[in-house]
Amino acid sequence: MSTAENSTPTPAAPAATVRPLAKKRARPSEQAFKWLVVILTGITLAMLAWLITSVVLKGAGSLSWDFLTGKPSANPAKAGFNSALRGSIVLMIITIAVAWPIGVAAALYLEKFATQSAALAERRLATKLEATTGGAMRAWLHTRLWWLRVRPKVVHLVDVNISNLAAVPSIIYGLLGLAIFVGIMGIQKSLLAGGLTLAVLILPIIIIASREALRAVPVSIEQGAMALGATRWQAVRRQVFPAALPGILTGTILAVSRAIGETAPLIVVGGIVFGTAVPSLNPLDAGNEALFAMPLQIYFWTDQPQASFQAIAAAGIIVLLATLLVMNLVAIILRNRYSKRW
Amino acid sequence: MKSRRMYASLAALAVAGGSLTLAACGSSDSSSDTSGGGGANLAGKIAIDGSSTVAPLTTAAAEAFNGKNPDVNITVGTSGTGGGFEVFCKGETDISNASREIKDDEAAACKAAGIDYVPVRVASDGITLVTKTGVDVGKVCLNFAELKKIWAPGSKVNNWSQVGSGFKDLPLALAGAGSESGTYDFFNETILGEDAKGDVIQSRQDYSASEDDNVTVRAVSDAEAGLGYFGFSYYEANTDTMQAFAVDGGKGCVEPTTDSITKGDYPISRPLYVYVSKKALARPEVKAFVNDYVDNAVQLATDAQFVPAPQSSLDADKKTLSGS
Repeated sequence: MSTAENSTPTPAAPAATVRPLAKKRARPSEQAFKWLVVILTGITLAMLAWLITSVVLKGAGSLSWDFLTGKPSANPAKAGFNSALRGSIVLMIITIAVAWPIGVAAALYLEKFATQSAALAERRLATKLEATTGGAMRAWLHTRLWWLRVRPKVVHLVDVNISNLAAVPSIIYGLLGLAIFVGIMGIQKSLLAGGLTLAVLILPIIIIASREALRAVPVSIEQGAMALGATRWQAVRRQVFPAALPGILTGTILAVSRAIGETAPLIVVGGIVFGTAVPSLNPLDAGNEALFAMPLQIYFWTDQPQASFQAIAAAGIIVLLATLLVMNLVAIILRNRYSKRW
Repeated sequence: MKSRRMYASLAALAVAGGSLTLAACGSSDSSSDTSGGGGANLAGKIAIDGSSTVAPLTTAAAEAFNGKNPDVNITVGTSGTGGGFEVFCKGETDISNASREIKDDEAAACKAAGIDYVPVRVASDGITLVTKTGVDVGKVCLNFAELKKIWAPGSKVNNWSQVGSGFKDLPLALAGAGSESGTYDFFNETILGEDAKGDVIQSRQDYSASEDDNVTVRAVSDAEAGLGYFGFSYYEANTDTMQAFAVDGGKGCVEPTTDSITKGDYPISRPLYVYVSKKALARPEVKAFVNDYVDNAVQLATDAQFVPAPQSSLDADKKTLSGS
């Protein structure tokens, strides 16, 4: 016994603890946790299945070509979803066209340019400053130096705010859209005002998702490109951005899926539930078209006393769900097709 | 290579999306091209917003009018009576749906902006008090004192037996309109009245409240012996599961019926209005629409399952309209 204690503590224990893998059995607590997770997943899926089944059972009977191509009506038997469907399509086109370029550009800057070390640039500017004598030029160089110093703080501030903005209730964006687009910019309450509002609403989500996607590209790719002589811009444009694009697109489509279901901000910027004219699908006309949208129409119908309105509301929900499903499907296909592994 | 393929398929997607858009375009542009049939050749835009309670009726009127005058484009929004007056008094809308009369501060805003208006009563509504079909709470008629006792702020009544003698020992679950709704305002004003400062007393808040009256319908039908209130149309659509109480406002028990609400005999009945801007009324298409609306108000109300306005008030409004 004593000799064993005195000898070096080269473990004799492992022989006892390492068991062949085949014999390994989960501990009771592990087993219990596994079942808990399975049950909770089951509950979630069951709720979803129940929701979809009840909606389909209620609405399938009202779903017809006439429903998809008809105008809104006070008579539930004649009421159609065409205006709302078109409104939502135009809203999505405007939202993507505005939010995507701005969001991706912001993500590229924040992730690939703003956070780079400024040491080298600072030194270069300092040397330049010593060599220049012109007052205006010196002032300009001083400003650039100052910016390089405060940039990390500004970027951090922007960072925190973007994350916070993603959690702001959507009706606040509606009020913002009303104040800025309708109030200050003087756009009339229309699909354009609604689309711009939704674009602002999903901008933080697109930025966050795009930054995540950019971050997932290994730094070695960028460094490799730069080692071969590419500038940072070239490396980002030709290597990092294409590699991150699938992730960026997935994030964008999920963000747009959120926008398509929004009701509250649209009510604030003048959403309507009935119009005798069907809105044009041309996004360039959107500034003159009444703000129709699928969720608004559905909400109005569910609020009606007659049971037949509940049925067409359910049919509307099916169309909305189908649209969402298609959008998510596109996201999944794009991701699977182009995702790279390093 | 790979990225080029990706751009190519992105382009393909865009093209596919575009063609889908075009296809959808083609299918319905024909419907908007059927213009030219109207005799009067009226054209223009009429913007309407306001109460979501009145919206279905105005929608029906707009639809009927558009059938005769396809070049008049009418839009109806549902931002609520208050929200409707807000944009109406800024001159953004021509007509505002309202489930109550315009309030003093709203009227002042309209006046400040130089918006003059004509209220037109287009239908009626009765706040109906209901419980589940087949439940006997002891009485079939509620008077204002009993309702006040139940709904007063801070009221702890949670059993029918506490309401008064003659009521049975049954749990009382309450449901009603949410505070954003005009129905809530009107119910409180009628039943609870005003406090010393002239503000409408707000009812107790510990009840199942919803802006969506269908939620109230469900809450009452789930309760053992609940009490809920909502617009008469919601009762009419649910007579199989709901039974209505008669209400005694001091002149005896009156059942809520289309007739008693139109006449105003039912004590918690209210008029439903559209407020028309006088400036808009100068436009021929607006004038034609409002006249058409008033002329057909009774028929429209019946078809859309509203309680019609009394003929006398319609006639009076018609006279006012032709005068202005």
